[in-house]
Amino acid sequence: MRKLIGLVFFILIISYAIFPLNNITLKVNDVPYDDGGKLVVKWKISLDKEVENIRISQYNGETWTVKKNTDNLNDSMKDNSVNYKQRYKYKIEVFDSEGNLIAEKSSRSIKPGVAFYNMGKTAVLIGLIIISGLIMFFINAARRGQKLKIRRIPALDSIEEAVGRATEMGKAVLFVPGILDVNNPQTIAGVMVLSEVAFKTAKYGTDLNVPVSKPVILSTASDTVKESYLKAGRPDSFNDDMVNYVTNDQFGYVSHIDGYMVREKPAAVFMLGAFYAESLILAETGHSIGAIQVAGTAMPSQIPFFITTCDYVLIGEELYAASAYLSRKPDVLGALKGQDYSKLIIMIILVVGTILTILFPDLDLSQWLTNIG
Amino acid sequence: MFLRRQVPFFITVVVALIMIIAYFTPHPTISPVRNKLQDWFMIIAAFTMIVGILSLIKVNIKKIRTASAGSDKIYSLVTLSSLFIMIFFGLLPGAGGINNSVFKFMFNHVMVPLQATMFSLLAFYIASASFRAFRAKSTMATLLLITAFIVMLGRVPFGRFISGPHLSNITEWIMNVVNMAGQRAILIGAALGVMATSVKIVLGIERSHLGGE
Repeated sequence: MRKLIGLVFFILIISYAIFPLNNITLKVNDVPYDDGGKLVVKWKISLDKEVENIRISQYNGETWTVKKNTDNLNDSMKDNSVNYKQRYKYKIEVFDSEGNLIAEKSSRSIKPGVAFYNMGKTAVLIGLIIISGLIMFFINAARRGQKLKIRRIPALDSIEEAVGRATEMGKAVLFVPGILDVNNPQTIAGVMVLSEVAFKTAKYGTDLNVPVSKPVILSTASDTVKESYLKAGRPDSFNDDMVNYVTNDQFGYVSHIDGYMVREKPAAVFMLGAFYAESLILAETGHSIGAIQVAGTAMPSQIPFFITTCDYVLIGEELYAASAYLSRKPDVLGALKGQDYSKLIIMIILVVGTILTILFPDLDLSQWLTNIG
Repeated sequence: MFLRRQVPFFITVVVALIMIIAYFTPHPTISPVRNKLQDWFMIIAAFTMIVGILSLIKVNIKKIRTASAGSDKIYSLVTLSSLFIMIFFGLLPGAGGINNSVFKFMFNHVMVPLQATMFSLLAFYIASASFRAFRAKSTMATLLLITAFIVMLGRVPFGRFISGPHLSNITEWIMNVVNMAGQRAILIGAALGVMATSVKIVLGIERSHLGGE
C-alpha cells in the first residue's frame, strides 16, 4: 500500500514537472462600506503558452459586456458599472498571438452589497461626537451662568480702533469677505464679523463699502448689514449699494478693489474670509494707501502675506472665534470654550501618540489609527 | 419675521442633518437626496447671478449719474459697455454661444491678458512685502530673515554651488518639518473652528448670517 501511494506521488510530481499546470484564478469581491455600485475583479494567470490578450467580461443576467482588455497576467480592476439590485458574473478569456482562445474561466455570481454605515469613517464620527459634545456641554454651562474666560484677540479689539480712525478721517471703511461662496465656513465667519463692523459704522455714521465676488453673498451680506443698521437705530443710513456685486472672476475682483482703494483711499480695510493669490495684492495696495488693515483667513498659505502687510491678523481658528468674541453672548462663548477644549484633547493625543511612536515603533500606531478611519 | 428667520433656520437644520447623514452612510437612498441638494445650490447660485448683475448695473448707472470725477464715470461706462458687449456676443442666436469667434477673441485677447497682468503684480508685491518683513528689527524678525535667507539659497543653484547639498537639505528640513508642523497646527485649529461654527449654526445659536442675532 505504501509503495502504491509513493508511486502515485512520484507520478504526480513527474507529470507536474513535465506538463506544468495551466492555472487561472478569478476572484470577484464586493467593495465594503459602499453604495453597492462597485465590485473588484482580481485575476492571476499562469500558463505555459504565450499570452497576447486577456479579456474580462461582465454578465448582468442579460448580456455579456467586455470590461477590459489587457496583457497583465496578475492584476485587478474595479467595476463601477454595477448596481446593488442585480447579480453579476465575470468571465476571463485568454488569447494567444493569433487570436485563438487558449483558456477561460468564469466566476461565481455575486450581488454587490449595500452598507448603511461606512465603517471607514468611524474615527470621524467619534471625533464629531466628542467635539460636538464638548461644545454643547460648554454652551449649557454658559447658559447655567458659569463664567467663561477667553483670551484676548487683538485683531478683534482693533475693529473699534479701525472704524474710529475712519470716522475721524471722514473716510470709508472697506470690507472684503473673500472670494469663495457662502458654502465656505470662512465666508460665513467673515459675514459674522461684517455684522459687527456694520453696527459700528452705523453707530459712528461712517461709510461702508462691501464689494462681493459671489452673488449669493450679495444677498447674505446685504441682509446682515441692513440688520446691523437697524440694530444701531440708523436704518435711514443704510444704502443698498453698500454691498455690491463686482464679478466672479478672481483678478477682476482684485482689480476693482485695488482701483477703489487707490482712488477713494479708505481709512480702514477689513479682509476676512477665504483668500488665495489675491491676498497679497489686496493687502499690499491697502498698505500703500496707509489704511489700517485687519485681515483674517484660515488659508495657511495666505496667512504669512497678511501678517507681513496688515496691522492685525486673525490666524486660522481666530476667524471662527470672532463672532463669539465680539458678541460676548454666553452660549456663543460656550461654543468657543468647547472648541478650545477639543483642541486640548487633540494636542494631548498628538503628544502621547508621538511619544508612543518613538518608544514603541513596532506598535505601528499610525497604521492602527488609519485603519479606524 | 417668520419667513426671514424661522424658515431659513428650519431649512438650514434639515439640510445640515441630511448632509451629515449622507457623509456617514453610503446607502443609495440618501445619496440622490444629497446630490439633489447640491444641484439646488448650483441652481440657486445661478439665479442669484441675475441679482448680482442687476446690482452691478444699478451701482454703475448711479456712478455715471452722480460721480463728480470724470474718471469714475469713464470706469463705470467701460464696465457696463464690456458687460453688455460680452453678453450680446455670448447670447447672439446662431453664433455658437461662448464659442462665438468675437466672444472668444475678446476673452482670449482682452480678458486673459488683463487677468495675467493683475496676477503678475504679485511678483513685485512679494518683493516689497519680503523687504519689509525681513528687516531685522527684533529677535523674531532676525530669525525670520535668517530662515528666509537659508530657504532662498537652498532653492537656487547658487546655494548648491557654495555648499553642495547641505543648504538644499536644510531647506527641505525647514519646509517639511518646521513649516509643515506650523501649517498643520493652523489647519487643525481651523477644522475645529469649522466644526464649532457648524454646530452653532445647526443649533441656531449663531444667526448673524441670516441677518439676525
